[in-house]
Amino acid sequence: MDNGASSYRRFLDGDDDGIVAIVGEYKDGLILYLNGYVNNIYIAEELTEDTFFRLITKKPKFSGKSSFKTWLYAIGRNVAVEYIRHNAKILNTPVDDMENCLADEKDLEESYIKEEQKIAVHRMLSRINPDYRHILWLVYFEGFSNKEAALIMRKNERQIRNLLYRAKQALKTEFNKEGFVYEEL
Amino acid sequence: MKSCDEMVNSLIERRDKYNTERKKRKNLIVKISSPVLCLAIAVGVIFMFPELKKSAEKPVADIDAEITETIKSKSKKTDKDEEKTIEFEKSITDIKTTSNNEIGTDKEKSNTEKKSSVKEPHEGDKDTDGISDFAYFFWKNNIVVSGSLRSELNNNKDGVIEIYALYRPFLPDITEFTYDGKTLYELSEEVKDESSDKELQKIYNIHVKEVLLNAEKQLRENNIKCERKENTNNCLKIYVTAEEFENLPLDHLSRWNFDLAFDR
Repeated sequence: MDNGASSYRRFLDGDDDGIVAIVGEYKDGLILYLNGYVNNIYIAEELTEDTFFRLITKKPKFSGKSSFKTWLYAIGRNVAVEYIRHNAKILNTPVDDMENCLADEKDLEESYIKEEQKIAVHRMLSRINPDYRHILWLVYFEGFSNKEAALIMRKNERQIRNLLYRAKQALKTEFNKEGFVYEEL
Repeated sequence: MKSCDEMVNSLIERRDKYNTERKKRKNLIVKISSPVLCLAIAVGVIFMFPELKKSAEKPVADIDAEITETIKSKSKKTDKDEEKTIEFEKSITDIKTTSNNEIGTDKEKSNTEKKSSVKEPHEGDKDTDGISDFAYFFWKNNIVVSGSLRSELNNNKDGVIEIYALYRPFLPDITEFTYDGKTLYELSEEVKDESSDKELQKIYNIHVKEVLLNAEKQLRENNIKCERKENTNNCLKIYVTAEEFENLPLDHLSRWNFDLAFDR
């Protein structure tokens, strides 16, 4: 996690390799996280690029109060929320793009998540409420603590705990509908 | 989907474009704002020094009108005052009409003598009496000319005569001037009294001073020699030939009372 912070510091000192390292490390996870907001892997990719673009042009100050990843994901969330606010009416993906979109999403999740069980869970996420989807992604796939997830989603820890509980219940219901039982959830 | 390197290249390209555009925008803002700023400073300087502005921008004729406006705005006109002014104006118009058409009752004639000290000349006199040319001219322009000045003008048609122009605002166009319900003539009478209101005196003096300055300036513009009489604030000493006197710029001097130097 600290690697991100040190890479960013290097970039601020004028070394462009710093941003190359950050993009390499966080690109895929951020795309999948933002895909939870926009439901389109290409738009999520653009938003990820916009997030990095904001980093390299505005050069916001990283204070170190949270991990670099938490901070980056919070910026990404802001970019996505802004995008949704401005493009709420034209967010529907054309049918022709949908197939490619799903294929690319599948490739990306397979390369990023790797574990088959988790891939199955991730696919099920698209069927549940967006807030549940975001919290489950942050906690179970990205490994953020409740506190960090609270920072990214701009909620308090208690809200995160409740959200997480309801998200699990919703996910269980979806799995039951499909005939699976995941005890560990 | 873009690979990591592709995304980094795209990011760097976008950053370069962004920086160029920002530079352009900055230059444009500097180009636009600098002349605007200069203009604002110039305007600010002019407004900070109103006297500079007055002398540089305002035509002479406007200053008198501006003072009139100032006095007007300070005055509180009541309906009664307005009625008085209208009455006064009417009477003056009557006088003029009567004298021009050579029609009028004795009563009107006596009114004329009461309201102004102008001796009513007749257009028909022009050819019969040498001084009537001047007298009619001055009367028409509301200028009081004393008898001795007329004879001096008549006798020294080619020589330079020395006259005093004394500002006494008491002829018809004074109806424009009112302060606290009083005409300027009434004011001038009132400020003679030393115990009169100081603010009133101040306003009157400022007005007279401005009028004097404008008259002096206008005379000099017409190449007429003049100077201020010592120890007075409303008197100009003018040196003119009879011909020049006839062509004096009268739009500013129409409320002036001309007199010969040796008359005073």
